[in-house]
Amino acid sequence: MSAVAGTPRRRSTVFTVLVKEVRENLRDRRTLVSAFVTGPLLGPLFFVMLIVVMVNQQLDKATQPLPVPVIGATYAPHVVEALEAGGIEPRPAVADPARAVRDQDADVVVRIAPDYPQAWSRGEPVQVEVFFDSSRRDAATAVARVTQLIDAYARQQGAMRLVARGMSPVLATPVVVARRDQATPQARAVLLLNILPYFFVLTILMGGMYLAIDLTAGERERQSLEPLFANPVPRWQILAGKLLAIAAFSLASLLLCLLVFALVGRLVPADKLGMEVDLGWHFAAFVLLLQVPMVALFAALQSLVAAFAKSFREAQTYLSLLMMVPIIPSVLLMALPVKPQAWMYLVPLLGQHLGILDLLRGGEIGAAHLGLCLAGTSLAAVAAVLVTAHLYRSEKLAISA
Amino acid sequence: MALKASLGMGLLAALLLPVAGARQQDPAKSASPLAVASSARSLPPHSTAANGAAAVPAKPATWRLGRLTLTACELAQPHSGLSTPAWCAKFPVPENRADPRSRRIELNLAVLRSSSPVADPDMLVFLAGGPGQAATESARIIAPVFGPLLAHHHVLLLDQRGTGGSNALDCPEHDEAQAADAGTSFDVVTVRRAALDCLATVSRHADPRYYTTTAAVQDLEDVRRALGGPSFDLVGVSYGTRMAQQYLRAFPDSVRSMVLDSVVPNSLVLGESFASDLEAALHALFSRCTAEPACARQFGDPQQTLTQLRDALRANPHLVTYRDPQTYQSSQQMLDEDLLASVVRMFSYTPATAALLPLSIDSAAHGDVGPLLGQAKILSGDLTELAGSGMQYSVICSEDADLYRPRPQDADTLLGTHLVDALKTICSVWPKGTRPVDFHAPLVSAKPSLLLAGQYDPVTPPRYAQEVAGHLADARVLVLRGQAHSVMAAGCAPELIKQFIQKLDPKGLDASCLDRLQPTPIFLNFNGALP
Amino acid sequence: MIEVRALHKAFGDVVAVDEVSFLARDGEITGLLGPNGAGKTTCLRMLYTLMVPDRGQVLVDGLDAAVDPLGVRRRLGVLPDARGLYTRLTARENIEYFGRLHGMPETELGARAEALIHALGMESIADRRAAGFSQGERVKTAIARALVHDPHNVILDEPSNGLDVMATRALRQFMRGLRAEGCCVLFSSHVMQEVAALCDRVVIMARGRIVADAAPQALREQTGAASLEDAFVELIGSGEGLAA
Repeated sequence: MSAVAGTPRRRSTVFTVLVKEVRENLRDRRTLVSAFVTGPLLGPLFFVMLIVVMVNQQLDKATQPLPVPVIGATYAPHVVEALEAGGIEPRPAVADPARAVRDQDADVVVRIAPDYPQAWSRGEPVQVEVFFDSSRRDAATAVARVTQLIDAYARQQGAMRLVARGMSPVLATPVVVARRDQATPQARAVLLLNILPYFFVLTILMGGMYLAIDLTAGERERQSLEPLFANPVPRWQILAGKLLAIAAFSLASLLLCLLVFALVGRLVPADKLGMEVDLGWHFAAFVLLLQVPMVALFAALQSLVAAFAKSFREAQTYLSLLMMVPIIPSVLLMALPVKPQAWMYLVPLLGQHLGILDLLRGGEIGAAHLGLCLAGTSLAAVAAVLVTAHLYRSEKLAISA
Repeated sequence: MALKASLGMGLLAALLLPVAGARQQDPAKSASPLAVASSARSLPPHSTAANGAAAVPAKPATWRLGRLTLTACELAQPHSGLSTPAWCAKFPVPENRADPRSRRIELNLAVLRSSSPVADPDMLVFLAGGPGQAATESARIIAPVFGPLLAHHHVLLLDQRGTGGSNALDCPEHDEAQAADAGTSFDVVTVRRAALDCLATVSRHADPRYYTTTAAVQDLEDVRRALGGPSFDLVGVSYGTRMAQQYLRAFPDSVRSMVLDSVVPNSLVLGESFASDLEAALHALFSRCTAEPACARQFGDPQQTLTQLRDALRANPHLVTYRDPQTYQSSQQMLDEDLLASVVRMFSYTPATAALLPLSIDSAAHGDVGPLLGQAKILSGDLTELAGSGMQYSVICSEDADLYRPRPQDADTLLGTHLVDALKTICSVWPKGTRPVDFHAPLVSAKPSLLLAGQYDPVTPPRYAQEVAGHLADARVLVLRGQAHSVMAAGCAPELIKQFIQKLDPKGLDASCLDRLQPTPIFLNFNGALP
Repeated sequence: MIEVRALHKAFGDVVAVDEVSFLARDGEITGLLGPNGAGKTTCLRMLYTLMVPDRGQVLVDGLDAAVDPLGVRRRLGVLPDARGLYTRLTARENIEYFGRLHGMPETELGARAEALIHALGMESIADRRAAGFSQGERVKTAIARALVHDPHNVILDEPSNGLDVMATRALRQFMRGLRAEGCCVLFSSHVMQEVAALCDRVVIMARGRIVADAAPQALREQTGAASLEDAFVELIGSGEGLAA
């Protein structure tokens, strides 16, 4: 009566489980939104917004007319003129410059002292006060702009005073700093792009999250694991099918994310920041390669973490916390830039992070580094899968609460 | 340099020198500026040798562009210890373009490399003024304009034949004693002797007939092909605008766009209208002063003061002792009418120096000539590199001198006819090359073009730009308020040039940011204008 | 045929199943009767190899569960205590999934599922997603998927739990049908009437032990009780846990 007889049309168990899981999850709006909308789109969207905001901030403040209240404008009309020539729009004086800056009524306030005219005509140094709040980073460009304009005006007037006396203007600046920035545009962009690798990991996590929860906590909560295990199938095959389903969703999510990045990468006005952001197909292919073992690792890790949860909701909480882990390399490398060592490529997450930075910086990742990264993460993935398999074999796992 | 003097002093600065310039040459500094410019020093060893003894200087990095192999180098700025990193190469061409087997001369070229790993296919070319200025020596000065463009473009700096590192036609320096002997005013004999001296010197390594704009245009096209045939965005300043127009006419398919700053129309005979154009610029400057109560109170009528001062110096030129503006050593200098004209003319090239003129003239008229002499010396530093540029003579004598007409109306101007007379004298001995028949015909083109002009330009007033634009189908003229000669670094002009190169839509360019430009306040005393 | 020999299972200090032996024969319905917490579910879980016994032996059609658990599971149709469905799949897809896990060829699968759907009267729900199913519909689906591979031995853990009268009647009819086909049917229950109505043989468990193993009629005779219920109470020593 048993149907064991090896008919040619039998499907492999792993495939059966995979197909069932995929079909079932394709019918779940929550999974779909997470894997194909939130996960892949969140990164590009956030990234583009970040760059656009930064570009607009910098561009706006660098070229847009900048309103600046000027106190004592009548004492030095030519200073005010010089500011105007530089695109500053002088505004009426404010009563309390310190407060205007603190209350963010103005990015910068300029105050010219009443004794400016006397000092000027006597040839004595005189100050122009610039009020600002250095803790407000968005005002930094405005502050720099006003400061530079006043400095340039002062230098020009100083040079003209020398020339008027028949002296050479270069005497007053005997030494000039000639800056030689060796950063490639990509290297400059890396400061900003440090966050980019995180989005790829995030989309992997979000793509497989609900399937991973379903694999253990979910099956247990809806009491379907026991009947499943009553089938004449080795448990590792069920696990393999389910891990493959998680990986499939993660990969699809990652692919979508890369696709969106490649598309929006063309729209990112990063060149306005003096950066070169190449998120094209070459980049996408290498990121995909780097992340393949990561997909396996996270499929196993997520299942493992979810297995400890008593309910779906609890598993969701755990996995949300797990999502915070991959941001560590981003934050760490932004806060403490270190010179990448070979061993770092072995460390999962860190290796991918460094590899993606390499791609962004120079467009290439060395074969040795690529190998280390793939090997390290693959090893971790195998370990994670084995641990998960061990847990999956345990008697208690199947027994419903 | 704070006064951004040198670029501004480009056009024909040297034309003054037979009259006033070379005599002031300080022997201590008399080493040829070309020696500095032509030696593209290789970079010190870089950290590229990551693992190994860094003691041995690393081989200079090279970069292959088209057929050329460029080497990392530093472009020195003359009269300073300043330099700009670039990629240099030598490019041999036949001296006589009509005879491929004639003497080979090496052209010196440098590329400012784009910071983008994949630069746009079109390449910017900076065409320097003078004639006689070397493009590679201008790298630092043009940085404010070209820096932003490097984000997407390479910039080609080619020393035009006869300048900089391209077989420069340097005239020998005249020493101080000779200068003192030379007397006070324009002297046909002295000028002629200097020209013959110069001819004798340059003839040792060059045939001056071949150092014309027309030959340089063909050089540039050869370089373009060697670089892999990028289309060019021409950026010409002053005399460089003549180069740009001639190149565009000769090789329209090689050009993507054209930016002309301080435009020399093809119809202009170089030198002919200097006197009247300067007079107009001075009139505008002095009118600004008399219209301003404080300035009028301080200086009265500066035009009248200038005329009186000139007449006094014409009647009584004398040797005066003054402090060298850079070394502070006591020096002697003949103060005469031509020195005055030289300072006034050159100072009117930039708004910042023009703002000093009423004060300098007034001080000198009241007997305090120190400032004026110091200013003349400051200028000489910038002018020496053009002091005796044989290349300049080759250009003017072949392309302009035969077209000079008598201009009696200039007789009573500050400059008078001295300049034209000096040029005629030089060209009477200088070998002349040929020029195409249509050389002085207007350029007709539909290439996107952006033309910049300074409101108070003493050599290429805005109407010249309008004249050239009249024959260009897709051109826009921007007149920069309060500016003078060579204006592309003023205000938001660099940003507008960048937008123009990016979008090639001269008519659609939003140039409203130029409205913020203001004339520079005129100095009322040695501490400046009103606060 | 399912044979259980001296089965023993303890969770820490608590002995759940203690020296349990019985035999469920082909062509018979065997009832495993006992109050809640008697050890019935644990005992059945060892039969379908979800749990490993500490001691003792399970033989299904002569196959030792410890030696060939897959072979044993292949010969079993199991409706466990936990009978969750995949709510985003239809009833038919739930059934077919298990069929495939049993290695059934696709050709047979469709016909077999259809036959079960008909037999259990599930036509109206067969192609609806399981998310909105009533308790009865869920149990029917779970039974269908347990029997999709046409097993010779059927284990049902409290099958009528939560079913209404009509559904219970249908279930009983179905079990009788299995017996008629010659299957070995083993089911657990704590409801006396059900066992009395269906079983050829009753195995009574209490506190992990077998307290009786006989035909219903024989049980009454053995205890001398008037009704089976009285006999049951007599055997397990109290009426505790008998409420349906």
